[in-house]
Amino acid sequence: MIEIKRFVNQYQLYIWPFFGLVLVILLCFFVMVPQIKALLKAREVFVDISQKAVILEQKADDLQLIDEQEVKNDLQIALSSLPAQKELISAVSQVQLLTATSNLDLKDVSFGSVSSNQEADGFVIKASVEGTIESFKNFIALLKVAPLTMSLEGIELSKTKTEGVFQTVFALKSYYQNIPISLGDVSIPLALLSDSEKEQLKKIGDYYRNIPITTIDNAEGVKGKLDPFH
Amino acid sequence: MPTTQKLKRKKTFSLNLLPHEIIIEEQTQIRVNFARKMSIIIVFIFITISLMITIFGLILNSRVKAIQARYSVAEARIESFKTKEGLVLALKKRMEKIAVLWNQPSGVSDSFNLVAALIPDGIKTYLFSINQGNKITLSAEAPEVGTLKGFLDKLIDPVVTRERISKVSLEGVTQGPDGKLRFEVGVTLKN
Repeated sequence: MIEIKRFVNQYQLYIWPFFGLVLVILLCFFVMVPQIKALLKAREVFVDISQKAVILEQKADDLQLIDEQEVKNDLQIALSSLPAQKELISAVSQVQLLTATSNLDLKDVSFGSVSSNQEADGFVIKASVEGTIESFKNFIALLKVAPLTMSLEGIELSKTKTEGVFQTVFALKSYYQNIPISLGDVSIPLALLSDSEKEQLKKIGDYYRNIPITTIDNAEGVKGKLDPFH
Repeated sequence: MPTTQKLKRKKTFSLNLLPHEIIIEEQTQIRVNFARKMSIIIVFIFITISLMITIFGLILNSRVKAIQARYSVAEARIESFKTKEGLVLALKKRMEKIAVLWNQPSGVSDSFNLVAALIPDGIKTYLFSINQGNKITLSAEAPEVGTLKGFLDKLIDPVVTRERISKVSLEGVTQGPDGKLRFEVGVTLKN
């Protein structure tokens, strides 16, 4: 005991700073550093969830304002331009209407191979027609403003016995694209139609009114298979 | 008067008659007290900082819980609009695809229009074929060499063709008994 007292008296100047330093080190290692780490992590989580919550709330508000029936109608118009599956009936109907409008005589229609590219799936429809050069030009011009999305893949034009009348085989590609199955991550912001897309949708609607092609939805009578080759 | 005070001050002096050991002990005690106070103050400061960090952490955690609740509510709201979201997404994707397809350059029709516009009146076309590989084959009849030359000159003129034609080949020129020229022209367009 006397030894301890002597020791304390001898080093009394250093005992308090020593214990203070030990306490500070313990506080730093066991309280401050873990707390600061937890704090930084919590802050990161807070910022992340805050941003996501804002996006979700905006998305929910946007969805609440959208008229479901209007979107269904718009989608119907879009589907008349780019069907969800191989719709032979629409393709044939469009070719028929376009040839008739362009004063072309439709002789034969045949279906070619199915082809896929980066843009969309599609199948080739070959239309053998007869008419004047002007009628062909009209047909090509009308094709650009036809409701069903088609592209001209090839032309084979040959002279007939009648003066000024040509026989042509148009190779047309009719596109289709499957409807997406998954909605993706819930935190992805809602992608609404841009002004140009709205304008385009309106154009498709107008084209559809001008060239009312038969689709599987508006076809009358018994409805068969969409694709008889499948 | 101030001068007198200054003189008085200068005359005073202090004398410590305590033993030297006591003076040293007093000085040591002062230093010990100072070290003790400083140690306590520093420890107190660190404890305060630790407490503040802990309190701030608790506040932040409660805010995280609150924002998580907001997130869950918004998520539930979106879940209730799932069908609508599906329709909007399908429409958007379809319109994007349509825009891509519509804006694709129509190579075949442009090529047809380009070459058809260059065919002079005197030339009779028998076969005009375009494939997706941008190869045009034209089988036709010209009344005389001049007309054929005029047509070929137009085809190889970069100004007239807007530099879209990369190659023109004339194949199988034959002259009939009536003097008319039957020919086949192959035109390769630039991609």
